[in-house]
Amino acid sequence: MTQHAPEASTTYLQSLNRGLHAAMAADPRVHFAGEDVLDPYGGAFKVAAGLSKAYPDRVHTTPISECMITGLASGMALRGLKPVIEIMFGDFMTLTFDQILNHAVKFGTMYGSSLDVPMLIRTPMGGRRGYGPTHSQSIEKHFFGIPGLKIISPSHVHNAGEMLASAIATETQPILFIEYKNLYPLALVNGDDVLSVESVTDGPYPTRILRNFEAGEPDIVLIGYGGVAPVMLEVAEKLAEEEINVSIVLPAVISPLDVAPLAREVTRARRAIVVEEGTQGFDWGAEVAARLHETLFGKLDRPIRRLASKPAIIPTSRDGEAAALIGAADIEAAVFEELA
Amino acid sequence: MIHIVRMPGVNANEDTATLTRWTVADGSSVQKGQYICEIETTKSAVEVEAEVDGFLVQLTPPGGAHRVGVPLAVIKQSLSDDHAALLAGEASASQETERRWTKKAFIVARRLGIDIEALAKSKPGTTLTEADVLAAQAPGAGTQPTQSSPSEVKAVASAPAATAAPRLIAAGGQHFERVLLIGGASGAGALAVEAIMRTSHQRPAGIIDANPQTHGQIIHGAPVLGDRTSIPALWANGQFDGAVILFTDDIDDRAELFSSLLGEGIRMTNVIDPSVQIRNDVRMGVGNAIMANGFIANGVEIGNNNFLASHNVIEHHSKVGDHNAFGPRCTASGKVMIGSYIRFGMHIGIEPYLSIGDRCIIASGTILTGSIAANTIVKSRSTNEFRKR
Amino acid sequence: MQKALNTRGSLRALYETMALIRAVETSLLDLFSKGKLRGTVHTGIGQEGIAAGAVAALDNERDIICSNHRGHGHYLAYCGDSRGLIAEIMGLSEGVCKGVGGSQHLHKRNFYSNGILGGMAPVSVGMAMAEKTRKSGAIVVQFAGDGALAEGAFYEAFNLAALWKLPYMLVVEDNGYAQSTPKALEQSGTLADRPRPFGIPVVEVDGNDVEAVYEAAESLAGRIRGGEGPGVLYCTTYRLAPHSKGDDIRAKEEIADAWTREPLARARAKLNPDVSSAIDQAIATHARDIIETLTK
Repeated sequence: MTQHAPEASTTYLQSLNRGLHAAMAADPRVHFAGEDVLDPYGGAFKVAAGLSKAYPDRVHTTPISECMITGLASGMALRGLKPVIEIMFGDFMTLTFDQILNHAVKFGTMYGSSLDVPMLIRTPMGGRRGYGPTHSQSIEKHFFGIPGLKIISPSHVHNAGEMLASAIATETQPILFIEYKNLYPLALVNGDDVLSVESVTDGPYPTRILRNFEAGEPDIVLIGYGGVAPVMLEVAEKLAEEEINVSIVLPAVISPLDVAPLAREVTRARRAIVVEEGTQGFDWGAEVAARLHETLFGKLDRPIRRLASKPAIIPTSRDGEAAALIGAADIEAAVFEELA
Repeated sequence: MIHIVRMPGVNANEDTATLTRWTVADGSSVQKGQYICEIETTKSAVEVEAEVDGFLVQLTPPGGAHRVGVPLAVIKQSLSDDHAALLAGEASASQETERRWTKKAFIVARRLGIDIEALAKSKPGTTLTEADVLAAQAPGAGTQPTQSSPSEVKAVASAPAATAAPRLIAAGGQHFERVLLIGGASGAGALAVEAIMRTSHQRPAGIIDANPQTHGQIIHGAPVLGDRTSIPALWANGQFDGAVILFTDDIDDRAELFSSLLGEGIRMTNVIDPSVQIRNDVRMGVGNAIMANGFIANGVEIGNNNFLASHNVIEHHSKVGDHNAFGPRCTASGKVMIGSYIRFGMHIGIEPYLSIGDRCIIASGTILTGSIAANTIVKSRSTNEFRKR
Repeated sequence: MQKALNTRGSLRALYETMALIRAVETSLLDLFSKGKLRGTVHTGIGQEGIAAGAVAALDNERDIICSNHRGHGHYLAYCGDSRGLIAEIMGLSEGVCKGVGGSQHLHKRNFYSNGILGGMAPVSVGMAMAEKTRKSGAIVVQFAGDGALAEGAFYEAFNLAALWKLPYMLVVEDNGYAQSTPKALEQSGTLADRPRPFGIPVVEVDGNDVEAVYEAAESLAGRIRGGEGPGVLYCTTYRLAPHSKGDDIRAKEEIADAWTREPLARARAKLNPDVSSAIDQAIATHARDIIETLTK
């Protein structure tokens, strides 16, 4: 299945909501469970709005029991259903960890034969909303590299809803689907006067590349996913006025990592910066940078640069949060340093 | 005397900073070295001190962001000093310097060692672009070479991807030498592109190929710019910094082209794959290409316009003349004297102290155990009789 | 009480299952001491009455069993596949899970085990949700020890299973020890009371009385299958062998005393001695044959 371009004038939130409706309409085995997901509330961020009205028998509001909800999904998936669960805040994913690592991803292969475990965990990560230290984090790095777990995190430059529906319909092993809170109100982007967009891989989870130039080569490649996408877009739009050619590469599957489409673009610029909202150190950028160095040894002008949020808590105050999280000014400054 | 307190540049990457707080009241007296205000960038907060004694007159309330260099206050010797006229002039000046160049122009100028301030002064009223900076550094800028005829310039204008070279410079880490590769778009030229991309100091400016069907193609990122008739115009237009000849099928043609290019004032350069080991006291002319994994030992002298394919070994104190072509994996042992215009096949061994005269052809797989006179074609495995030990 | 119409629940059949478990577990300890096993091994010697009684009371075609680290007995009671089990624990490709899962990670048909204590509670409840949704009529039976009940996952699972009236049955095998730590040092209050505040009925039974286990399990499974929601079968027993190997610090007198109340001896006392010794002999031969072919 190849993705369609994001529909203009649809928000990321609406797109995901449509994706859930489409997935439930397509297959009666799909069940949806999570905290506060019933209408009229429809989930803390309203991604599930209208679902329980449309499918009252297949939408289940649960107790505040993330471990149980995750096990529920494993059990339902092992017995022929296709559960989708919502973990209200990404920060609460810590409570699901044993159920993911020692259960959900093990069942598929640990019994010596291949068992289907078609379950999908949706959760929103990220800050910039003033929710403070335990409701603003991007903790997906603790889930990267888990064998058997595919992590998908669309940006608003992807058709997020179609991607979600596709994952629910086609995947046979556990999926962690990471949304970003700051993206929910944003309209999906399919290019504008300054930025052109193209999909550089086929299939349901395409890697998207935005470029702020028409001819020639990029001076620098920015690589990121999820909630840093609009921040990177802001930088690229601004740098277009400064004649600095920027490519933004946005993979949708962030673990395991397909480095090839990233490497192709980085080869053109020979310099790249990996940007993520998670905290610095042992981060996604470390994996991306290491893989790019392995792939492009001797073909880079500068080491791959990593940018992430400060290795500290995320304060509630506007200034405190802005200082903790990676921002456009940090990216812009790093671009100039890398080009110097 | 009136002293102007300006927004200082705190962080090289930021043009603006925020005046967070005045630490001295408006109109009060200050002493040199006293902190008068605090400013903040996204990365740091600093205190600004008075540079002279006097009375502080604030020009702006705290809380605003200001461009670096903008006046924030004046320090007057007397409160009655009039600073309005001074500031009026300042305002128009700062307006003028608002945006004198793009960031890219600044970056490229720095890489090329161009004084962008001076360049900006020479073009008042415009915002300098990358193209302005590149034009300023082109070899022809200011002093056009006399030999470029109008028709040649025209040829360049229509050459495909003629703008590729400046873009590569801008994408590089420093001022790269842009090398024009002459010949072998489908062979040695492609090899040389890869070798050049691996160096830290060179980038391909483009490829010259006799076959018109290759023109406009991109070989490993390098455009095929045309045939050899377009070289002078490319040079005149400042589109490359040095050239190297890569075809080896016709040694005489190779030599003639080399001489004629030099005669036209075109700079010839060496292209050496970074995997080549070059030891101490090696001397080398220009126009040589040495491909991957070569070994050039101590004291070797290499002339001009030689092509050494991969895995060539020139052992210590050997001498190589001009216009020779070596196939892959030839080995000259120590103190060998190699003349000029010689074609070597592949996998050839030359024992120490031998000499090979000009214009010889040595077939592949030959082991030379004796010296060869000029104009000799050597086809056998050995040129000397065996003798009893 | 009139029973034994169901041959699976006859004392003879229950004894056969217990004897098979005992023989296989004993063989495994022997293989372990000879270095023939991969990793460690947790045996259920002394606890056979619960596995044999509870599993016999289930619908072998439909019902689902989620087992734990000490699951050999549950597995054998479910499918009798002693060869697949022993080979699995020896790490052989002929093992039921091709030597991938080993002792603690077994799967065949509707049998699933995992060595993370308490972790299978949410999974079992999820399976029960699926079976209820699909109206399969199956119930999901999870086995867990007293030590595992200190895990928080159980209480999230109890809550949801009761809230949604799911066909989930927990069989607790209370052998008094969490590995080497006696229950008194680990659990406050009364373990058997834990599920009750959730509205989950708890049936307490002597786990060494295989007939009592069978009867209690059959009755509870019937209620759960009938849609009354989850239930807990709370069985007390004693583990006669060490937790795994070489980690037994219990008093010898205590263990010796427990041998006088063990489930096989108690069943044998009620059976015709000729019948029981014939079963014992046949099973011993069966186990020996398997091990001979696997260790050849």
